[in-house]
Amino acid sequence: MNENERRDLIEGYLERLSEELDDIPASARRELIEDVRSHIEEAWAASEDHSRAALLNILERLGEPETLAREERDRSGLPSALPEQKQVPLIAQSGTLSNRAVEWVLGIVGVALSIAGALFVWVSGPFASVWPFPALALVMWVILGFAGLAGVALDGEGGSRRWGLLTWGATGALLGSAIVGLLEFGLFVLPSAVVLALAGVLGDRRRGRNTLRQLPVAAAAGAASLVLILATLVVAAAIYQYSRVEASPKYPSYVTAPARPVPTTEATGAPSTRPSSAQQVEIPNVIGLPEAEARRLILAVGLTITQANYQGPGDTPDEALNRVPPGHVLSQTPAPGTLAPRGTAVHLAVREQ
Amino acid sequence: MIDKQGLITQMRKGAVEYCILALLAGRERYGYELVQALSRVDGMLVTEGTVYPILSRLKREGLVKTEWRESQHGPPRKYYRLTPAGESALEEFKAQWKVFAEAVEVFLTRGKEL
Repeated sequence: MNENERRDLIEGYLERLSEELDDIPASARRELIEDVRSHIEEAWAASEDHSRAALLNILERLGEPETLAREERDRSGLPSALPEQKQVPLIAQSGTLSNRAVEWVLGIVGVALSIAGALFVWVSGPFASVWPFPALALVMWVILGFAGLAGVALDGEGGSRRWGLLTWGATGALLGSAIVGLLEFGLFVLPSAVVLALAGVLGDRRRGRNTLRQLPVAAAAGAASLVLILATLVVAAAIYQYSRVEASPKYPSYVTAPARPVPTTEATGAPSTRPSSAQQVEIPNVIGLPEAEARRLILAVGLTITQANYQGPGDTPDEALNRVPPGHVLSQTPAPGTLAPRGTAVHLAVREQ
Repeated sequence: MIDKQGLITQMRKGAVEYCILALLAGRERYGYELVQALSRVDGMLVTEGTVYPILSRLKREGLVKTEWRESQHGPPRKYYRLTPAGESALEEFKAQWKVFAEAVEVFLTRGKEL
């Protein structure tokens, strides 16, 4: 056996040991690993047989990393020193439903909730206006939900104790996306994050891990998803800017409102009496749209944003007010369909929130 | 009643600490040497690696002291030595173990006659 193979075997063993000891104070962990390393070197030096089998025998006699880790926890008097089988179930009574079964249920419910949240955001009108959130949320939340469930599934007896981190990472990332989208739709992903967090806590208890030590991973994943979404927003904003210059905005297929004319500055075969100069823009119909959507549409065809005039009861007769939901456009000037020079300001009257 | 395997495991766990102290009485040894000595007698060690958590606990409790020293053959070795506290813990255990082991022996061998 060459030196590289030898080192790989030894380091692999010590790496597994280090993983098993992830909930033990770093100083104690380092000491144990150094002791074991020194043992392996001594045993190797003392052995006349320098084959791969001889090294495997040395490691075999040392014991499974999990056994050593359990011994270390027992001997160091950590709170997690209870042997796994003696852990008191948090929710379930043994005999009726095991802790593990509850974790599975929570994991599956977590996935179901993440899918449900994403679908709801996808199909519900008002939320669909905030491009690119629905697409991103649908894909991301579903993936994260399944990642959480995978963490629960892999965190069984005998597997690496690190799998619990997967559940916590997914939970953190879901929370991160909830924070970014809080105002519009973030609340719809919270239930799945909460349920997965519960599964994480149960898994940690069963495996004797310290939940507090898992939280940095959850926080990092949350920050990562936050950054990812913000970055996507920046890209999306750049695309909008670009499509405005192109004067031929492309809308995702789901951005459709009833009876909205397709905004365009291209010649549409209109009568030649209409000046077809590129400087002229057809005013889009934004009546009945949410204010943010209306503003975006106006910007997109090359007109300018205006200040909106907010109308409440007393400003406008109730029957006019009630034609649109709060926050939606009541009326606009210039009127829809008229032509105006590029850059013209469009004035909006919006029903008060 | 505690299950048999668990009881034996617990007894071995409790006793192996004192066997280590006994091996260190009068002479210092390094980790691998201790493991070798313990495995020379059947029935004391199940997995060699578990000696190291025990050693670090004995150290934390002040029963042994450690010192790294250069070795002529290979990497430095960590030597373990009894502290005065370790010596008195060993003496106390010896006295009590003798009484206890003899008592158990009496019941196991002459239980019928009593």
